[in-house]
Amino acid sequence: MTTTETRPEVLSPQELIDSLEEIRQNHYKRYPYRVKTLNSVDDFPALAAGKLRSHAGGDINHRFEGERYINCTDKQMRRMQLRKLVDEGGEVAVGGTKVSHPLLARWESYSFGLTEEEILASEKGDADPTVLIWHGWHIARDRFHPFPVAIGSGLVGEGENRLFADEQMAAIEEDAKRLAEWGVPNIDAALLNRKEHAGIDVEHAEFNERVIKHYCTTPKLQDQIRHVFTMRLQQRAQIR
Amino acid sequence: MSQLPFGPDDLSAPALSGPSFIELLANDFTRKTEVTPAVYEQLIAGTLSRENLQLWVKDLYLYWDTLYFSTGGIFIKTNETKTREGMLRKLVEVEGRIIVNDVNSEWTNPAYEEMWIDFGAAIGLAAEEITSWQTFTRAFFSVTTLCLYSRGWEWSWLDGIANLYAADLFYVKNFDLISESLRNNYQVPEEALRVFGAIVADAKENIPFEESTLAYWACTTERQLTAARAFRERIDIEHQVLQSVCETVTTGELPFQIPVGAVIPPLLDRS
Repeated sequence: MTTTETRPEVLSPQELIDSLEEIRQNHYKRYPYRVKTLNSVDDFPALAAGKLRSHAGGDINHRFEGERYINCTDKQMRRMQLRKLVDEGGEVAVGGTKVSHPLLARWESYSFGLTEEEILASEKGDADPTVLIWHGWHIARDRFHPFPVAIGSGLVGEGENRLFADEQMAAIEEDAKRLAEWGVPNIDAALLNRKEHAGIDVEHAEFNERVIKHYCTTPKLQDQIRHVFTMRLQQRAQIR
Repeated sequence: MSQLPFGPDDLSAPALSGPSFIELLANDFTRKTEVTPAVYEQLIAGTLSRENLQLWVKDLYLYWDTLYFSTGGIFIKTNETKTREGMLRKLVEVEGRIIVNDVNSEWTNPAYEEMWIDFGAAIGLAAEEITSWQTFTRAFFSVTTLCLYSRGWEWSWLDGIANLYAADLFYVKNFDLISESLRNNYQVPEEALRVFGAIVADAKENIPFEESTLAYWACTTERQLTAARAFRERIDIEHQVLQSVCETVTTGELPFQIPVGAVIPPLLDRS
């Protein structure tokens, strides 16, 4: 069989990154980035209820980051992904002091008045249907795509946090004042989760970008990372 | 994998208490490891030829080089946070404590597979001879099975913990004795024996969390039945990995080897 189909030109590593950031900026035109803030929350009970909902169905951090890790066929990159797993899963596991991101999320919720029992019950319960299919796609993407696409897909969220790190830190400072007005007892614990992401995600975004640049060097992989990048932005826009 | 499901009759008996379940596993371990594999028997006695020692080192490289995959497969399934913390440490130990040296400066060990190559060098093997070795087919099947069961639906997360527990007990039972013999009978320098010390020390560090996880979470009859099966299966896999080398040691004949370039299916490069 003959074909006249032409494959798209392979972009250089930087051109590929630029094209992904262009996808992001086009997406923001319709769905502008909004820094996470408590401004839109009317009162403390509404905040606590939202936090409780966020725990429903459990945390998937180790699942998709783990899929990326086990999916990686390059030993050096795989071990760098493991280092990221330690950032996410808690340096305390290896003698450090930083706890896991899921635990930070719990601490945040404790600060907003939720009890451990409430959170555990929520984590054992059904996920919201939208979250169910979001998680399903998230994990499937990282399990079944080649590792440069799976790891590279982290550039959407972590890249966003890198882009808006300053705004996020400013919002955290503002929210600290609001929490103080509400009489939240442990404000540091309440905001540590967001602070951690505003910081460590800068490094993680650089890792994601490095993997994309180094390994997404074929038309097929470049197509796949663009597709995944687009769908991840769509998914985040719906969830927000 | 293909066993009939447990029915109401199988599951009507109440679950054992946590300590009783651990005791049951201990009995299984004793029973299934009563006979030491021939290669280990000779190695510990100091009667294994240097040629066969080299064969063992070459043939086990695949096992150490892919241990991350089976360990990681269980990690992904583990939604219980405390156990997962232990799993994360275990993964780092397999891949090299050096990875987190920025967090913990006392952690300096490289990956098990790298230390295994260093050990091979001390007994006269070039790294290339080890990494390019065409693994005995039976060992390849064994490692493939371990990867499949750990990664897929065959083992639950808790079955996976039972499998890791079995492996750690197996390392502790054998590797101290092997290391001592290598030092005394084969004059392997201390530095090259680092891999054995690391694996045993890590196993001893991990056994408590594996035991406590099994004692607490294997709280139903069905969980105990499947976890105990996975525990026994891992011991079988450990023996099967060694079987071909044992055959060579006892018969002098080389068993089947994999074709050049054969790759374990879950590890196929999909890029």
